[in-house]
Amino acid sequence: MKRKYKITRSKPQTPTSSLPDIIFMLLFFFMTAMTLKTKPVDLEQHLPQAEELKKSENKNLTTYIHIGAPKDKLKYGDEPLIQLDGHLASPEDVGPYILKKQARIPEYQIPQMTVALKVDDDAAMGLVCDVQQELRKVNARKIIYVAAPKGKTSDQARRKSL
Amino acid sequence: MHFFICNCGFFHFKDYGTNQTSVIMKIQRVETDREINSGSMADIAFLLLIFFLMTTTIAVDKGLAIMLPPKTDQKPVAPIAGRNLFKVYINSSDRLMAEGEVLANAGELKPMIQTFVLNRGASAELSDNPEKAVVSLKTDRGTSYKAYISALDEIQGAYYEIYGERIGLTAAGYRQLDLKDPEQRALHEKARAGIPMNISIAEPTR
Repeated sequence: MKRKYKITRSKPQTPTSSLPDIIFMLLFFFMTAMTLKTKPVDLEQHLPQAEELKKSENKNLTTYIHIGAPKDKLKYGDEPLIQLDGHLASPEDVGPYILKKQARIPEYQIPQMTVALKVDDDAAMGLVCDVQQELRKVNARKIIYVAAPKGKTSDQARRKSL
Repeated sequence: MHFFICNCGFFHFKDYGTNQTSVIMKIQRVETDREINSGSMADIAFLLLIFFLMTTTIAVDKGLAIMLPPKTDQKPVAPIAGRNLFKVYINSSDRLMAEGEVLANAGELKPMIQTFVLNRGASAELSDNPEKAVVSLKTDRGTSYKAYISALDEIQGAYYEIYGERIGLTAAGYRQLDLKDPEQRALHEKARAGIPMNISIAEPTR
């Protein structure tokens, strides 16, 4: 009698009602801390280092252009290439691509549109200049050369060194 | 709480008669079903969530911002007097030249540009005034992007240092001014007044 009584009462229960909250919290945390990477970049992206960095102002108004030597050298050769939204392109494709992006944002925000150039530091200036000429033609003049802070290597750089 | 009640029940069971025990057991069953009050758990979770929201920074791309010139056919280019133009040239083997002088590294550019911009007509070879002063950066098609960025970084750094000095800040302090805050924006405008950052990115030689 005594023993039975004891067993029935000792039922240690951990409160589980807060588990959904914890899970949601984790979910939100990862949602915010993660940067969405929509398309993989097939180019080398070892960004140069610089000191006088400024933040790009508005992420929604930023268009990325990647330039660098392809990772898959057997398939694409080792000359630097341009990548726009996941597909490789030539300098002539930059203009239409920017116009397409401009069409998607409200007209009054177009002057604030920034083009972020993510260029591998081994790439030659020739291709970068070609892209800049194309950008001037479509009046997308606000550009930012994405760089890593001095002393710190960018994520891509770290990955490359591993 | 749990144990306390258990012990309590056990004690009662031992001391009093069977009649008494059954009454206590009834109470006990009600007591054991109780859990720790978890109503505040959600609040704690939200608190943590907000904490993480505030402290984590989503990777923001940083870089060197410049403004490209408008299309060449739009405006006739006014000639710039030789003394108002500071020429920086990087050749295809990444060697740096400024005003006809070969430089060992890009770090030497900063003081040169600062004396050039803030000359205010003192030396006949340097700029008339900061408004007219233009720094021209020219590359070859074969110049590496790395060399170009390091030179551009120094040129912009020279200007930021001038701006920072005018309002009693360092170059980094100037760069971090929040333009959305009217007070800081006024400071930003004050620093820039009369000294525009005239950096010309020349088209590369073929």
